[in-house]
Amino acid sequence: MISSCSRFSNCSTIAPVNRLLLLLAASCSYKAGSFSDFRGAYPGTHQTIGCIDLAVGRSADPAASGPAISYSFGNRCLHPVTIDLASIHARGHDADGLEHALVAFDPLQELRPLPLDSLFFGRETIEYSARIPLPIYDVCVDIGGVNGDEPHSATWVCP
Amino acid sequence: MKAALLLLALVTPAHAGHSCAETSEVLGHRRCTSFGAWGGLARFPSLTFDTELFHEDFASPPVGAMTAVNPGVFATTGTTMPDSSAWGMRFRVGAPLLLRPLYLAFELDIGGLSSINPSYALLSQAVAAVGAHAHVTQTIMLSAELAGGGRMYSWMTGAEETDGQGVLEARGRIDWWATPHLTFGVSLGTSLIDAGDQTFTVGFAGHLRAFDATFY
Repeated sequence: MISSCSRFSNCSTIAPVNRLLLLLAASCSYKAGSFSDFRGAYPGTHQTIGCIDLAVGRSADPAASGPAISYSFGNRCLHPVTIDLASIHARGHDADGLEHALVAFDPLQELRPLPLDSLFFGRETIEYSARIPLPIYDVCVDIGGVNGDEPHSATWVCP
Repeated sequence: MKAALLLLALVTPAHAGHSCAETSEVLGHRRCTSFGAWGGLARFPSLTFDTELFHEDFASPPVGAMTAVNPGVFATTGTTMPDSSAWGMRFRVGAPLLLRPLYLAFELDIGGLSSINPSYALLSQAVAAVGAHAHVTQTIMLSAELAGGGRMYSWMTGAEETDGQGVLEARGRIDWWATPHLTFGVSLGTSLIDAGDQTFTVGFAGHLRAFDATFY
């Protein structure tokens, strides 16, 4: 196998009308270690987990009633990898400082492991909430299982 | 490449021909896209769409065959057959076979024959090609293939005339990966039916999967 993580660059800003089509039309690809795609730089804390470059940031999307985390990721390898956002554990604190386990807001139960093609990228924003209705003021997530092709290794990030 | 884009447009949910105004990017609040649109590409076959310019030099046919049908078609001088050649566009779709690195491609050539007078003869050709390719570097790929099919000539001499023949060609090609989804390449082919018939192509190709999903 020829080594991964090539010299190919990502592309500059293009209106996100159709990510997949624009990607191929412009021959955009994810460049290993760039933590950016055609929409710009990945916001938040940067982590590399195997073949996956992952950025974890807080989202200010007004549609979310609870804390929302943006996940931006790119496959730095020349083979597909499994992105498992469903494996992420989240914890947060309420106004009294008490810690609560959080669950992802997924009314249609869409969260599941999916393949990410080689040198490709994606973004998802997920809202978390406590099991009982409480305002949550900070969130930490364990992203150690995001790479579904490798064993889970706890990696907590508090964006 | 355009065909690849069209294919994607047809199967990507948010692009089914209607506009959808997204109000949120948060899972569960989105209206236009479902979770995991980024995962769609990995489920596609690694199709390749080539567009090439071809030039073919004929050793004897089609001049002999066509002059036999209608001697007035070609500008012959004395007993010497004129040099004949064809040029045109080649459109090609390819996909890897299960037994990699073998691949299968289908192609259609549309072009014209030169060295004719006074009419203009069209050439159309359809072949299937089976080959194997190998990366000599990450960005340079060599291929060898065998192509077989048929071609048809048509020309006007008052009424439309047609003629045809089989095609069996051995080819070698070299492609350069400019990006993980785009290659530029040239190929050389030689007929296994008519010794001396040679084809040259130059073109580019769009690849649905990065590097044709080769490096697994």
